[in-house]
Amino acid sequence: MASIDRDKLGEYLSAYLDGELTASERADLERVLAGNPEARALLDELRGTVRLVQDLPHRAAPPSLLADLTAAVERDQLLGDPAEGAPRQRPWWFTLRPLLSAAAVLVITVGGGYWIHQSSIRPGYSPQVDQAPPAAAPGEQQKETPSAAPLAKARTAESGRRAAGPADEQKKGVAPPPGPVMAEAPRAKRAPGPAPAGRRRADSRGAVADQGAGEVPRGRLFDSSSFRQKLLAGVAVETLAEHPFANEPNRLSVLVADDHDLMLGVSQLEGLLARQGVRRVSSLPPGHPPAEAPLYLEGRSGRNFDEPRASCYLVQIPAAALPELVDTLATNDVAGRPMQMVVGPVVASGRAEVDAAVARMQHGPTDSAALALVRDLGPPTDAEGEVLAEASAAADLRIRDEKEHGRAPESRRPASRRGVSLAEAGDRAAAEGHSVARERSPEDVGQREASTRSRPAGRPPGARKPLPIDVVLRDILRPATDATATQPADPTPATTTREEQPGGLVDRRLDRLETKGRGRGAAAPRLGGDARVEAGHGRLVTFVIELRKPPAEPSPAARRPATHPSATPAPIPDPRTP
Amino acid sequence: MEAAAKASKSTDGLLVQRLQAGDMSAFAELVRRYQDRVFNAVWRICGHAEDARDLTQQAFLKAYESIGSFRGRSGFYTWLFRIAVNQALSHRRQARRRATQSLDAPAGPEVIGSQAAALAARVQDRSAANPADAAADGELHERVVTALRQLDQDFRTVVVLRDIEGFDYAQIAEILGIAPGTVKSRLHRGRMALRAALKPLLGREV
Repeated sequence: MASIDRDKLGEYLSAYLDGELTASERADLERVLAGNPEARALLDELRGTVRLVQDLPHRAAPPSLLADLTAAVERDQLLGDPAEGAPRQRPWWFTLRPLLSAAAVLVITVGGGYWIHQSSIRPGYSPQVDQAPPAAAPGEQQKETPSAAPLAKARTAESGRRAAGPADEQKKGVAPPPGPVMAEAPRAKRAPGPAPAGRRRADSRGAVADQGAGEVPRGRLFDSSSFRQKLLAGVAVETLAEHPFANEPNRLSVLVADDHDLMLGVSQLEGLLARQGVRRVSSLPPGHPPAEAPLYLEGRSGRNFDEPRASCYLVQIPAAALPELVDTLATNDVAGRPMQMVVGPVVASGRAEVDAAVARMQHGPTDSAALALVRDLGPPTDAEGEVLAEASAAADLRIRDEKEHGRAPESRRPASRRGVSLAEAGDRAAAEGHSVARERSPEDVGQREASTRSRPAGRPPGARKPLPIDVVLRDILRPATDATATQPADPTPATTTREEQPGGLVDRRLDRLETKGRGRGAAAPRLGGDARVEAGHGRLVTFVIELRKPPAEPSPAARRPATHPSATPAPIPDPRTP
Repeated sequence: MEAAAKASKSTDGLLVQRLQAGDMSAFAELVRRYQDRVFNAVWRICGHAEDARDLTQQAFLKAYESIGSFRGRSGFYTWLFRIAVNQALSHRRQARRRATQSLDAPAGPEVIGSQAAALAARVQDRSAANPADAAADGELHERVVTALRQLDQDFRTVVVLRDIEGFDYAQIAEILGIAPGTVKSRLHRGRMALRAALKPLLGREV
């Protein structure tokens, strides 16, 4: 047996078959084999055994695996995954499940009746899209899955935040990263091509109506509960494949959902978009090439019991215009209440994170980014209450118009009933030197008052001298520094400011969340955390923005709207890079 | 062959970089690239297609979540497989514990007749081939699969990684977190056990 131990012969034979012996070991073994028929027989049997195993048929993975994975990843992004290596943490609201369940029963009971009542007088939601942005090329279908900043990067931020002190974090009422709160969204026309995986799953279950090329999408996105409900209910992963953003590439998707603050948030958003040169698709002349200008399609879920007034905006915006938009969103507070920003699934530490995400998307291989901007509106001011009343009246009119007339031609409706947004109205009013209030028709006033009467107790009355919308917006959008100087004294003043550190924007907001809570009025409980899962109870407005870099983008100057010639973004260095 | 492997590894590296930068399409590409191999290996290790599906999905998810910690010291595929195999082994251990807890208590000759005992044994051993799997493998393959399933888990895992997935000893050692010498030993013992179980078939093969 030469230099090979008899006990080890078997191992050497196996290793010999596998080519794992050194040259000297192989030479030794071959000498043994030459003089040992038993060893040769054993080698043959081992070879035959290996061959039998190797010949076993290979089985392919189930075809739905990728789609399921995509949905699961998306869910994790939306829910905000725990840090790597850490045990999976329940969202903060998980502990409130009994309360939420009771609240859900109440809402379903009351709201369901209301919804049924509303349904009896108003047909189903049927958004009309005048002009849809171009559909993604077939080759890009796979990219339609919503993408966020990588968990790795996001976790870095998350870890950093946690490293700063869990107790401190707890004290500040850091909630799980906000996910979108959505019920349904309009679908744009789509070019023929393979449906993305998530969509196919939806279609196969019949939950989503087939939307072939050229069809105008109608009806609910889901066949039953809203996305938010599913999210709250623990979410069957596959249901999230139907997430409204899943199949909308190259668009910035914004969702605003909050019963009472919705229209205020919408008006702010529309104002911001308008200032960025983003125009509503339906306001463009026919044949206007969508690729030449950032556009948005307005969608509205209508009213139902689970999302009283949720709106989802799908905005197509060149990546080059993103920095300015983000800058605008990030540097303007809502009546002095700073805004929380989220990059991907993790609460960002402030503007720096947003900049980093934008820079990564623009100058790196990343072609997508996701932002969720949460604005803590706090108790409504009188001016806001007026805006809300106006907005409610406008929403009511729009809903009624759609019910009674379908989508009547713009020319057939009075200006005040065309479904114009407050921002548009504000812009127009500013241009004409009027306030929107002066344009109200008697019908509008009636609607506004009815809406005001229907507001729950605790809301400030709307019977005040109306302010011009542009003035309100200017007040709302004023820089944080100004707002800080003028805002009412806070029982627990914020400990940091944006000027003191990059993350101050978030820190201040978190402080405020803890000290003010989310309810209305001074007696509101100090719950802290994120109210996004309690639309209708909180005063947070969540903007979820997901976008992709267009595959072949012309020069920023060529694509930038003429209204913003200065929006050329300078390369934004990653702030974490020394 | 080696050049192809190098090219594949290089492409993996690029995909991983893109994924780390947040490119979801890179993740999809990696899934497409490796889902079949991971699924097949996990299936052979855990012996149950439904479990293998779930475990494969979990492995990819975990890889996605942990991609930030991937430093490229090993190949992505090796790293991914380490995750998948660990999940599969953990799953097997848990399944065995569950089965023991639920079935041992009522077990007794006076309580369980022969049919019930057979059923219990089958339930306890979820790795028993279901008819669909068995039909797919064919009779010869079924015998090989049965022999493979009867192997000790440690041996089976090494055999699957080597003879089905084609990992070398160093990679197997890295995946399982054991020494290369242990890999060699386990592989040999697994093959010897298989040889004994499949001896009647070896005449046709050799």
